[in-house]
Amino acid sequence: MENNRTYTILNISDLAKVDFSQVGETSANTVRKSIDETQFAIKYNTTPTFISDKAVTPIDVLNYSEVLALMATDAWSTNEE
Amino acid sequence: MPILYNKDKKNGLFYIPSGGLGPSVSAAFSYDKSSYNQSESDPTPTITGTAGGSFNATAGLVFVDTGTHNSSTGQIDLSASTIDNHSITYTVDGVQSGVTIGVTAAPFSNVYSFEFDGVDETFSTGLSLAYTAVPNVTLSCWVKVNYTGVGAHTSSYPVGINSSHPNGSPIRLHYNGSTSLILIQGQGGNTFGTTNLNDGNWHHILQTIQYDTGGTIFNVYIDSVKEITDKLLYAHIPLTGDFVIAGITTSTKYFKGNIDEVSVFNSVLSQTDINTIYGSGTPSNISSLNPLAWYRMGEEATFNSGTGIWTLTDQGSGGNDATSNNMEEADRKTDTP
Repeated sequence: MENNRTYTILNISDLAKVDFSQVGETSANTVRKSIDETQFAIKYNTTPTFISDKAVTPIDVLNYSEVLALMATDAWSTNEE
Repeated sequence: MPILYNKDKKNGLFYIPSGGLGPSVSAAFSYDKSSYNQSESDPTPTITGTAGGSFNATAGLVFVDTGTHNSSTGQIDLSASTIDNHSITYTVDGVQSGVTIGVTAAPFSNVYSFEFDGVDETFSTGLSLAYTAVPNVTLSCWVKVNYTGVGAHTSSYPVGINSSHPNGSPIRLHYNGSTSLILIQGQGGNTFGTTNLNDGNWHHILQTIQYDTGGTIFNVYIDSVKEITDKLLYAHIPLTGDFVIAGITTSTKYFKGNIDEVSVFNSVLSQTDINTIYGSGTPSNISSLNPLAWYRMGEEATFNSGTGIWTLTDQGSGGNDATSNNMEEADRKTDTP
């Protein structure tokens, strides 16, 4: 099935500002963080109010294929091959 | 004028109740079958005798109207009743009759799997598989890999153990940009399986992890055929950590695709056992193999819309229910092996 959700990259300093009832992530403890833990990802079907009201400014707003490409980079995945 | 029939030719006075000679009382009743499985509709008896009585059953059988083994309707709550033969009696005006009703387990059915986005969706289980506690382990799962859009030369873990050790403990799929093979890192470097799992089909993967004084020995089976034999890691693993599904958060390796029928055994299964699990290429009831953990991945699952969390009831002996991380209700799919 096609994944039409929006994936957004946020600065780790904004983690406490996320209302997890508005995003697909369960809690601050389960978000995926970049390797250096300066950024994290969230996903949603409807833009959360904390973004629309500019309480949080995204680093990047991506579709599914774009976030998969980002997650494959060294910034987000360790390479142990 | 009532007519009395005195077939035994008794002498004496005959008393006629003030209401006359009423109909005789009967406690006759029946269910339409003598045995039901727990997935069937809750059966209600037909009372062919005198109505207005009450039902009583042996402990373990639960009636719908009371939630206990006493009832005025006799409708059986099959899913709440224990798997056993139960005696049910119906009593009316001091007259009683009984039947025996069998309650059996629901037949095995597999209609769901879970789809994972390869970004951050996983299940946690709380099942600790540290080698010091569980030295011999078998991990089993069915997967339908979908690596479209996933970067080349990456690994992902459909199931595994959260651990600080970088290799070995999970079932590990390596993706080179087109094909996906099982990979075990250990003595002598990397060893790959031979079956391309990224072919759009369901496959069964089973990995045994055996404690040995020299290290940990891995064997991997794809669709019941051994593809990696006696691969040795010098270290004893898994060191610590809990069993997880679809991603090892400590290694940023998330699985993209569908996963079904995940099980864990606290022993190294034999080829006969592995053949039983694989069957003819579709999942079957594995309860006879006494899994330590067994997640049906869609069956025996509940979604809490308030928290947005799926809970998978552990069908194994460990009682370690799994909970979802970063998933939604629509992630349960009717796509199965």
